[in-house]
Amino acid sequence: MQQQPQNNAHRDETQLAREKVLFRYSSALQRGDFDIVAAVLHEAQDDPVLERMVLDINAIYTDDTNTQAEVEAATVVQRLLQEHLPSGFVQTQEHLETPLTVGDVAARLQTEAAAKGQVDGEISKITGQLRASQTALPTKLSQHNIRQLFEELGVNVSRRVQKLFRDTAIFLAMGRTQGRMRMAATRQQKQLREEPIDEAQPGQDEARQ
Amino acid sequence: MNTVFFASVIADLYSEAGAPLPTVDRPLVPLSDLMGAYDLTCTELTGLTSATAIQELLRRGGIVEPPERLSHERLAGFIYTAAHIGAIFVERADYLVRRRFSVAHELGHYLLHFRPLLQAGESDEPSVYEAMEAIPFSSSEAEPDQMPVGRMTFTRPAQSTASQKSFRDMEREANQFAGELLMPKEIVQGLVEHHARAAHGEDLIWRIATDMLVSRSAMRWRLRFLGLL
Repeated sequence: MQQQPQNNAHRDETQLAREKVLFRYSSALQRGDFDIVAAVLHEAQDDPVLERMVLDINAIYTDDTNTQAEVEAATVVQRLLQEHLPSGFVQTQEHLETPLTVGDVAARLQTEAAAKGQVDGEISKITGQLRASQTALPTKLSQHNIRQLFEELGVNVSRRVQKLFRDTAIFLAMGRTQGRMRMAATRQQKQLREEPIDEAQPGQDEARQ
Repeated sequence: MNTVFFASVIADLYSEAGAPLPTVDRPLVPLSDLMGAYDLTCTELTGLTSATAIQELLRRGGIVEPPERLSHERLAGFIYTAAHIGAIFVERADYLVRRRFSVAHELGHYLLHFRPLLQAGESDEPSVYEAMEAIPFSSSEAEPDQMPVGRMTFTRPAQSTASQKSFRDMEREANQFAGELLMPKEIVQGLVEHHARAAHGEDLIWRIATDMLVSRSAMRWRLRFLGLL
């Protein structure tokens, strides 16, 4: 029966250790100390809870970049994150092939508004209405098609939100396209590397003769 | 590419967008509506550089992996395309007339160069997929006849196809497309006739440029091209 307090104490210690690591990580981000950043990311590879905390910190950090130096640093951190914590950037073939839905775009709009700390009544209302929608987006994301989509959904939105929705849908579609094509290119390169070398290469026959 | 070809691309653009053609009484070209016909966005950023544009795309989920070697040079316009989908960025602090020209220039690259090349790559060669172009920022009103000259970046497989046409030619074509789109020949001619009785020389250029929301240097260049100056 005395096991429980011991377990709790262990959990507290682990969490405290994580918070210390996280503090080290955010301080390193502010100083631009990428050695420490990489070391923490390496540590987070074996700790899913720490990994989640690091990704959350990074999302806030990325949204806060304004100056040129901050943009540069954020790009380096993004690369380090993809290298050390690829699970935070899951881009499976299946995910990339799945058609984008109205719900995907609504969820993204909601996340972006929350990250900016924005309170926008119309966006909140629309995302609330559409977040669960499984309706596929039109193949072509023209202004006309998006207007028609909202008519079909029976949702009345302003021109401003329609534009925001369309822009977000285009960015998401672009991200999936880039992910799909990079994945295909990587597969192609891998295949090329794995192809057996033809034994009868030019020059070899001559050497045999 | 000649004037007839540009005219047919522009006619397709209006038809695709279902937008009304400009007239002498209503000479403004509806750029936003025309871009709205394609999978294309336009964003204004303060302090635009290749790096800040890519950072914005990363933040908004437009790319999953940033391209390498991004510049911090200040830009007036920038376009990134992945296959048939494109994102145009313009410097928010730039003059409105130049922002419009930058958008039209990038739209020209998208329609004339990137889209045909990358759409073909989308089906045949999965590794042909990204292209970028950047227009450097000019802090003062451009010199007469001086049109923007941007820099392009393709992914390697596309580079070999693109190099069949020189980058300089593509820049010239994008500028000519922007000129033809923003300042249609018939409208410019009509406005010259309309204003010619009351204005001449620089005053005439200024009036027509103001009517069409383009810079004086762009209008001067267009009038010379049309033999009206």
